[in-house]
Amino acid sequence: MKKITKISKSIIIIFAIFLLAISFFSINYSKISNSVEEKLQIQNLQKYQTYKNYDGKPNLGLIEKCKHLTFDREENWSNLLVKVGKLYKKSNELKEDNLLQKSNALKEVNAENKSLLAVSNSKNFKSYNKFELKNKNEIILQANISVDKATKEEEQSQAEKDLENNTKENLENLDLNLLDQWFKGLNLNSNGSIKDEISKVLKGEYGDGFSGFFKMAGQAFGKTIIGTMPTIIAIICIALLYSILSNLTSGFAFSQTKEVTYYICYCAILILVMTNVTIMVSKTTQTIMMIKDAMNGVFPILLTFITLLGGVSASSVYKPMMGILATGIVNIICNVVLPLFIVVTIFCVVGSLSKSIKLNKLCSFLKTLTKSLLTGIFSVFVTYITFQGLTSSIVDNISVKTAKFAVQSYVPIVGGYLSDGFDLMLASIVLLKNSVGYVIMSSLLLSIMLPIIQIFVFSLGLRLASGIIEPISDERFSKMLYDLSKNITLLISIILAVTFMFLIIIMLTLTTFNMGAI
Amino acid sequence: MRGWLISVVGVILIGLLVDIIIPEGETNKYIKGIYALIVTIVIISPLPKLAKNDWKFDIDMIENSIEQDTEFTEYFNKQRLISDKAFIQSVVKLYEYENFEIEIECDDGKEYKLNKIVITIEGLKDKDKLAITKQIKSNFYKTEVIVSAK
Repeated sequence: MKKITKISKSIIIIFAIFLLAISFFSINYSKISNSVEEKLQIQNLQKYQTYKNYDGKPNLGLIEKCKHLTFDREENWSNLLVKVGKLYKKSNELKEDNLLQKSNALKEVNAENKSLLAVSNSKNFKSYNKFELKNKNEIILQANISVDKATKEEEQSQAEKDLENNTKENLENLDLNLLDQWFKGLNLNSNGSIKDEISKVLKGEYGDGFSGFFKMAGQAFGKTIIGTMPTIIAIICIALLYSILSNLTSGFAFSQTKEVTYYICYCAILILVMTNVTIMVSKTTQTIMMIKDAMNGVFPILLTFITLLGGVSASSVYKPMMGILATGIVNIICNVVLPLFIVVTIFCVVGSLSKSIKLNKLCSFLKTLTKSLLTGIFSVFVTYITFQGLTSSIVDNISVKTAKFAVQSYVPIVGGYLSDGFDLMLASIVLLKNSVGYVIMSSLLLSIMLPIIQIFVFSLGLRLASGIIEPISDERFSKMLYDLSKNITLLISIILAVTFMFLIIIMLTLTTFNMGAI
Repeated sequence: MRGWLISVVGVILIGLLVDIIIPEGETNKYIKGIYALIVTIVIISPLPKLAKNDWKFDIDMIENSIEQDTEFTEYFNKQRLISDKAFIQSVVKLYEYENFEIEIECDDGKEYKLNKIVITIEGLKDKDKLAITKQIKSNFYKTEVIVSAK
């Protein structure tokens, strides 16, 4: 009995040991296979991150999801991935607009995929040897990347659509009445309202551009040259007549008679010139009023955009500066600088009338006063707005970026564009802001071009006349004409200064407040 | 300004007339001297007025002449709130939760500012709680985000 019990005991022990060994080995085996899988998956992850064709951030969420799926429904998962990967690769080669061809190609690839998957799924997952597992993982990896790319692309197209819709809606809700009135008053070539223009720019149609600008400038030049020619010729004729009268008749009997003829000729020239000068002055005031209307239309909109885009400190800088430009500086120019210009021209004309009383020094004093007033306002304003605008926008930008960086850089990101800190609403505002700015700038440049060309051509004509008159006629004629032509260029600098101050504000806002999107 | 200009021009024109009409003689130079005096007086005359004048600029009025478009700001902030809510929804749905509620507290002022985002999710797992919070925080870095289970 003892023997039997011993044998049975030993058998039981051996059996137990055997069982233990089996269980140990089985556990070990599963451990080994698990570790191999894990290793491969880690390798995949590393490959995934350094995969050459992939140019975005690794989508950790997707990998997480896929990992989870491998253990549950391995077949379905690989099926899906390989299919989508192949589909994407093939359909990617076709052009976007050919949708029918694309869908047909997708069907073809589908059929191919089925046969490929039948081969790859013929064996059970656990019985893979290392080589096959690696191969399969390679396929899965590629498919994974393709899927990620495809979803990203899909998201991108969705984002583009959303962006377009957002910008459209925002444009519809924007109050553009003032700007529309201004735009229609310009009488440019376009027939539509300013909303149409802005939506054109949003679509990427920039109108005629540089060549159109030059074409218009050339036409304007031709027209104004023809328009000013009669005045210049008349001036030269009168001066010639005077020289013939005074020289060829070997002098008048009395010197006073000669003086009287001089005054008469001078008045005749003066009437011709001054009518043109008054036209120029009124044109300048009109242009400045036009620019003022544009400012009153645009500035509220730009200010709203700046605050919406998070420019808290910048809006507190821009708001007073915009006010100062739109009301203060424009008023100073209309009520001080332009009247001073008129005084200067009148003194210049009267001063060269008589030989006994000359107003040259007073004239030059008033001229320097006008010039320094204009340049002083201009330089102070431009330096101040550039300095303050840039620094304040940088402060805003940095405060936004640091806050973003502090949170974002340590968070794995799920959900594509939405979570990249890319706010579609803000991006639409950035787009709107820039297209509004573009439309204003281009139409403003077109509309100030005509008066500037007219003034420039007129002043050139006066210089030509004074040059021709100088050798044949009285010295005072040519001097008067030359001084006038010099004065008139002041009108050009007034228009350009106001325009430039306006454009600098627009350009600063266009270039600096893009932090919502970029 | 206008009166001054006209008077200066008038004085000079009268001078021209006098220059032509006056006969040459002894008194000529006295008349010319008096005339030059008159011209200087006419030119100088506005200077005392300038000194008396108080130069006043209503800077406050000028600086506040440009106002924001408040209607558009309100409209835009409403739209932004809607899109932010949609974003939060999409984030929570990414973690495969269906039943949840979102409450957002925000300022009504000119500036768009979210104070608090409270999300209550049915059957929330602990590991997702932190992930969702971080995810939402990455977009609303200035706001307090509270994620809790129902």
